[in-house]
Amino acid sequence: MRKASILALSLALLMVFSAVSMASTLEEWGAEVKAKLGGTEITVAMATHPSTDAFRAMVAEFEQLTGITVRWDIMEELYLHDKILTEHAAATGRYDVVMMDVVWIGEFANRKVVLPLDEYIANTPDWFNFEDIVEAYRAGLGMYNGQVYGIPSAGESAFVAYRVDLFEKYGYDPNSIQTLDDLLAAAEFFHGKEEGLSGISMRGRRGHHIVYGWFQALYPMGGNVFHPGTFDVAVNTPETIASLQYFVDLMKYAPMGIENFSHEEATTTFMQGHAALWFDATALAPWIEDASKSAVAGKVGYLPPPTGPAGAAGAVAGWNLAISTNSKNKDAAWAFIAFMTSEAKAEEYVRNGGVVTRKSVLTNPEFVAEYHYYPQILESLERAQILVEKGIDWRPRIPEWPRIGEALGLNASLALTGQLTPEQAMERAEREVESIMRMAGY
Amino acid sequence: MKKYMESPYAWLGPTLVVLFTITIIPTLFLFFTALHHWELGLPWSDRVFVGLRNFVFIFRDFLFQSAIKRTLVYTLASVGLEFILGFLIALFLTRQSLKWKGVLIGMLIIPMTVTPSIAGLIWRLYFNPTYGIVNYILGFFNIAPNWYSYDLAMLSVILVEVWQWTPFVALILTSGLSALPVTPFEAAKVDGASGLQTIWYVTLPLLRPIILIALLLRTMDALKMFDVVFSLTGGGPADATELLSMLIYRTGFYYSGQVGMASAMAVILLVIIIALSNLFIRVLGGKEGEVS
Repeated sequence: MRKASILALSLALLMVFSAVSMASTLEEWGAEVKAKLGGTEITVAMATHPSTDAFRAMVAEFEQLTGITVRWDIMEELYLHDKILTEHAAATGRYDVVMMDVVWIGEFANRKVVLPLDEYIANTPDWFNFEDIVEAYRAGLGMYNGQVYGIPSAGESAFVAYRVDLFEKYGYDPNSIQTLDDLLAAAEFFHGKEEGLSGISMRGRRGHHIVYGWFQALYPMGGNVFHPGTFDVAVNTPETIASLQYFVDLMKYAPMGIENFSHEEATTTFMQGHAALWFDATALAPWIEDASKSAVAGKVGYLPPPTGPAGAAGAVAGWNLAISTNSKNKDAAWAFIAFMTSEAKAEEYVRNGGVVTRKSVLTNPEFVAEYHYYPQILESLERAQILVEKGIDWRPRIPEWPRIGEALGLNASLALTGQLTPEQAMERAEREVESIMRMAGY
Repeated sequence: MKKYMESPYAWLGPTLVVLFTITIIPTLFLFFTALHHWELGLPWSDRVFVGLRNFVFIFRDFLFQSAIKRTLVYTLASVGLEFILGFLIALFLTRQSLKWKGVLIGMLIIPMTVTPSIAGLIWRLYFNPTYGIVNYILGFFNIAPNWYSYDLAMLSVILVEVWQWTPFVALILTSGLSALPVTPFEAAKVDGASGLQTIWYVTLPLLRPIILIALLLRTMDALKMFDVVFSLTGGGPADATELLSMLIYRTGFYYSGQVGMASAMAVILLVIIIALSNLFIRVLGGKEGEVS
């Protein structure tokens, strides 16, 4: 069939499509899609990520089932952000499916870079099961202003990993690490205990990375970017400053070079056995447990994120799959997203290295036996849900966040390297964030 | 038709059209954008004409001023080191008794072929204070500097740049040295000049136009340095390696999406490069091949 007639047919059948497919199985749905959209080619823009690798492993089945061919454009995550925006500004329609970081959703939704997906979800059969996706992800990752703009494809919280062998050797009880102060004490205890061993490995690289590391302490200590429910800047409150001071203190027990550590260096250092503790994204646990790459695989235990004076909190971060507003193949793009993120395909996705987003997988006994850190992920997500319920975004998902994040990242880095005290750094940050918000019209 | 084909413009025409399209037109667009306030992601029609306000803001901005200072220091250090090392290598390569010259030159070319951003990533691994190879080797001498620290980050960027482009300078100078006339050197020998005197009074002046080319090209490139910094340090820690191109990138894309402001900064960078290049040509390009 020629492309033109396929397009015409799909337009005509749009209503019929939604009515017919509600109760169909994956195979039936695939056949319907093939009849309407077979032969379409879509381009998918993704970041280098374990979830991307998993999708690529599953694409052959998708192409066979639906007759849609997939072209990939994969790049580093910061480039991806700029590339998507540039293509959108030029209205090229180059990308159909885009992988969207949670921190971009405000910007992308506001600038109409991606489409609202509520209608597509409502018209997709049950094997997709949107509600099975962890609540903190559905609300905290993919929704903006009450509408769904992205389907969570790789969700993560943050938790602590510790070296079981080292803790046993020195008789340190890992379950004594409940609060942030406990964490600091443990890091201090292990720092330098052995040749080449540091206390704790985290991120410190200027920008997005140091903000990620620091924010693990921000919310449990009562700090905030904005006063909850408002857009009043709160980066120079005593609690926020105290959390930055805590982070700077904690990083005294970090490996040398922490000032430039992204998650890669932080995790590699831990994987090579140079740190007793590690506090970073749950999505990286597969790396730590990969015996072919990690020297500490099988010797690691996990703990949920420590609490602070203001209670428990957890990170919500991750990636969504979204449809570009300039896409010329929106239905085919949705077919791809639905297939890849569905409940029906979730187990295969995780087995291929994908990052789990669904309750059904997290509580599946078979998976829990294989990935022994799933219970801690669930616990971390419960702590993350606390923030979501308070209406606090772990990183505010407003369009200005990338700029605010950079301002905070630069000033936090100035504090970490000792160029400024945390107080001075946050005063500077407050002025910069204020001016960003003012220029944006808040 | 024959008349047309004999005209120089017929032959230069296609090249001029292509060059014009890919260099002049974007530059004109840059000047135009520098006079506007325009945010990335918003449609072109949303731009606002602000005249020279972007430039006024930039000149007062502390971040911009320190970035310029840092860029000039970086350029001076890296080009200076490249020149000195490159010249020494060139002298070595043009010795009469050198065997395996082809192999050595081949090895020299390797750093130049690496994409700069990949070079930055490779050296990010090498410079890792805990598991990088640089500190492993230095460990034998009992020193383990923190290459990622605020104090040493700029040095690490300079070292990567020197590693990558010293061969370039060396090769240019080698070809220049090989092409020098023999007579002045024989005369110097007869006059009893020492090696160092020969270099200072004969080699360098004769080599002046070649040195000019090497320094000019490297300076123009160093002022625009972006890839290595982006991969290696991301401009950090704090503002330790925030060079002008990094600042432009941040302003125009990730940090604030202020394309108009970033364009204005780029215009200023362009002016600096043109000014420095002219300075070079004036100072070094003066009297060609004269022996003092």
